[in-house]
Amino acid sequence: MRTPFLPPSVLERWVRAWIGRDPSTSYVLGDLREEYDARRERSSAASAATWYLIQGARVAGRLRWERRRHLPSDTSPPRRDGLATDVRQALRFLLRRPGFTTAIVLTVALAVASTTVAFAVVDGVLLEPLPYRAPQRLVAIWETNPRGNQRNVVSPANFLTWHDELESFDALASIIEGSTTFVYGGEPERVGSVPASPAYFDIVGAEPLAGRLYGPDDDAPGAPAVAVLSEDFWRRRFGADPGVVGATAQIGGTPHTIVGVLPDRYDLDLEWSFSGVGSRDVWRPPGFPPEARQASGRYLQVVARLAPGTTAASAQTEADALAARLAEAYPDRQRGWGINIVPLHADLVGDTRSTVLVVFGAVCFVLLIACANVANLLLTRASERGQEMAVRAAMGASRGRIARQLLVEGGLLSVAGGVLGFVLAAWGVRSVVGAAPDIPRIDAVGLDASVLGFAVLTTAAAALLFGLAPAFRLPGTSPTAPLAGRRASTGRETQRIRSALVVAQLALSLVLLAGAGLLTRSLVNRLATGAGFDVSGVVSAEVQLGSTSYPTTEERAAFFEQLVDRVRALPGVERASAITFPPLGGAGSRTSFRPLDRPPPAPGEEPGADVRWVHRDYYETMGIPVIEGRTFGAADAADAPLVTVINETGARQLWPGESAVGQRIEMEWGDTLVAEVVGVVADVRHDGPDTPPYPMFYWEHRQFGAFNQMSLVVRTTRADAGSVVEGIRRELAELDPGLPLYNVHTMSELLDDALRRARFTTVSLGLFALVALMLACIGIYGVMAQVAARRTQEIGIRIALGASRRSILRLVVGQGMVQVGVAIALGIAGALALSRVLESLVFDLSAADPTTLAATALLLGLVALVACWLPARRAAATDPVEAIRQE
Amino acid sequence: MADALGEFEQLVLLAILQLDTEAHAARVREAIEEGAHRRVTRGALYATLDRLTAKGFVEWDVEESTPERGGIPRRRFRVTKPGVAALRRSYHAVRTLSRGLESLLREGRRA
Repeated sequence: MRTPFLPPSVLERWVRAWIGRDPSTSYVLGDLREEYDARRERSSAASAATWYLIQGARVAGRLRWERRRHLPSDTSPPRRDGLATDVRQALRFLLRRPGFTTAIVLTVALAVASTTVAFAVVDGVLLEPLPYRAPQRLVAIWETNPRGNQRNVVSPANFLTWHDELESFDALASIIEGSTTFVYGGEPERVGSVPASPAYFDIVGAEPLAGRLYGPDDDAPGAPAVAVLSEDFWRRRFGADPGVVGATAQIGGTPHTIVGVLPDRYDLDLEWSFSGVGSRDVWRPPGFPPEARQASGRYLQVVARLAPGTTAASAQTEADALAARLAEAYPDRQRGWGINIVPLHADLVGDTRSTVLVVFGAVCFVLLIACANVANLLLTRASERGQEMAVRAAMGASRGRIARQLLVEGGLLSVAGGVLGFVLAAWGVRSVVGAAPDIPRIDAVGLDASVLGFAVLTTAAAALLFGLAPAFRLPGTSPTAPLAGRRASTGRETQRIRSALVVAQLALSLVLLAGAGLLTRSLVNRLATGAGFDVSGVVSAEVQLGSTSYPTTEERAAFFEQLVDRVRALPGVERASAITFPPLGGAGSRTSFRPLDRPPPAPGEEPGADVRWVHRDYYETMGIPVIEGRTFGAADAADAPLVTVINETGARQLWPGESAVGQRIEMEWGDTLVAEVVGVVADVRHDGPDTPPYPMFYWEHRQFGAFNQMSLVVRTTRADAGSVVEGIRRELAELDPGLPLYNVHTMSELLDDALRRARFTTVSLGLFALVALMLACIGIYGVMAQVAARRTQEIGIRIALGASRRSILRLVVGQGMVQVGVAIALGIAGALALSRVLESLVFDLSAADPTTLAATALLLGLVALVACWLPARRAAATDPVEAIRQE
Repeated sequence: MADALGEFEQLVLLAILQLDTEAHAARVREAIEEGAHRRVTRGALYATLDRLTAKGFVEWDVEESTPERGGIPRRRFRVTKPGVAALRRSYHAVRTLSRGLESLLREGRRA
């Protein structure tokens, strides 16, 4: 018997290894041996071995495939091309580069956080509906005056007429904010008082917290006096005791029954306030007397609910027709006046809209710049990873696979940044709401589903923005070029993308810088303008006399004279005086008048002016310069001829080119007053620097005391102006223990308040612009550093051939500055295009101010120059021998 | 429901039953090639035998090695009771579904 042929053992070992661990491996090998032996007998060793190898490979392949198909998945070897693998690989890659990863995650987190906070404000202030019943049907109704004010307060006569005649509305309510003295249990307190129509509660859909809200019956003539307390006041003063319902309190000197409590959320944030105390504590029916139908004084705010199916526009049409009829019927008080219907949400938000949107826009710019920066960082990484990617491609990874891995890396970075950003945003939203930057409806700002959704979207968008750039910029189809260590053209392409990103960043930063520059200059202008007088050390505090205790002008005048004398004698007080409505206090009085040196104007076309009653030392106390003539003196008493002092704007408007002193005017204020102008004083900006001065007449309070309320104004010698307030309180209590002192403010505080919004916008925009500039400079620095590094060899050759360091500097810096130049051109174009947005925020300046634009462009250019110069200096210091030896 | 048999699995089971005590892998392969007039790759056969074993339709005994096998023993395959049952189910299914088609199917065969 012959010796059987056995397959070469090396082949057998291979086949065994290929088949792997299988229960039948040995038997299969045995079967193959049998067949090999048969074949070897018929043919050559080579042919038999070839056959063996082929058959072995086929069997092994088939068995392996079969195993993978049928083995339960948990025992199958991990797939090497799944998403999980990508995530694992990306994590490994990112964790191995903690600096790189941290930089990106922090950038994304900051960008997402600031965008989310800004969006939360936009959402709460501008997008969320008012928390009242049928909010889209609520409107504010204003009068428009002949001088173009679109939001003039309303006269009771007009309100009552509208109420009776306009059919577009379900309900109309008038509402005023003032203050009154509230006495309960013998304790007087100055409280905010709101005479509001009963319909108001119906309009906002209010339900009482305790007791009931008052209704139309309570507003009828002769009905018993009732009042509703605000929730806040009820908690503060009565410890939320429901037993207070039914109790009686003295309000403004008359007994009122407290019938219920109004939840605070139904308290509209009113814009106008007449001697208010900043809170709205007691609500009462307005109780218009019959003669109110004829009164021409305007002081009401009106809110209404549109009837179902009516729009603000159709209501406006009806109102316009009514306004025209009223102008016909009452030319003396209605000619030139119109009606303006504004959706309540827009009315409450008002010009805050532009502030909020500008800040939001700025934040979005920062987000874009941050994304560009991250994309830049990733691109740098990607080009450094050219070899890694080439190896992957050579091993059979498709372009799609590699792109997916890069996207997964971008995704991980942005998810981490997004989560951290949302945490930061939660904190940021609280801080912004806490800082309450004088934005209406700021209390509606919070983190809710839509804000969360926005954060998620932002993060996703960021991931796409910066993840796609390197994915598109994959090393080319030829994997060999980077493997060979040669820098392929792909590097140059990456360079182009990075340069474009840097140009975009710089241009966006310039837009922000220009905006910040404009707002900063506006703030400086506002501060320089101020209120028209020296606010430092001045305190104002209001006193209101009960009309029953001080019924006559003489008594009231005597009281205030005495009070001013006593306060002036206090230690720390330099001067003291009084005025009916102090500057920056938010309230005022205005009426029409006519100069007597010209024919009377047509009814309704009389010029208007602000009016104030003052104690004679007012100008010295406030430091208001006298321009011409004199101010009031001790001689201008009740029995002396009526005199008046006018402000500069009034004098210039009424008597241009001539002296106002000696002119005579006539003014209606209950009575017809005829007075001689004895002096001209400098303008005071009563409503803050933003409102241009309006003609103003001052009267001596002893000559014609129209009000039983005045504010003390006190110039102190102390740094801490507030410390004299206790002394003032004591003096007041000695004169009349029943009178509270309220609305106590320092003038600097009030001026700060008036500038709060401007300061908020300026500081936020400035901050964002700085961040943007920093990010953009990091961007251009990175690009220039890479350019310099890529050209090391070339630069070395140039130096070796005799190029000076200076010319190398010029070469590299020049290349960077070309990008800066393009960016400046684009940025200026962008700033000009967006200047309209800032128009309502700039002060005493054009929104396209060339000086500001030039200055910011110069600033950007200088900072960018430094960013380019640093890598250029390094390039110029290249050792030519070293450089040429490279590669 | 018990695992349905694939066509090749049926052929393998039938071949093993036909070969009875001679049912070694190489013989099974030859029997199918001859009986079904088709090429059978070794890989497919081994994979199917593994699969049928895993399903419990086939078992095998180890026989003494021969010199050609250099000491490696040989497997002899046998169809188990569940294997026969599965084969029966397939056969019945084919018969049921073929009812009334006899002439057509014979026709096809002749052609």
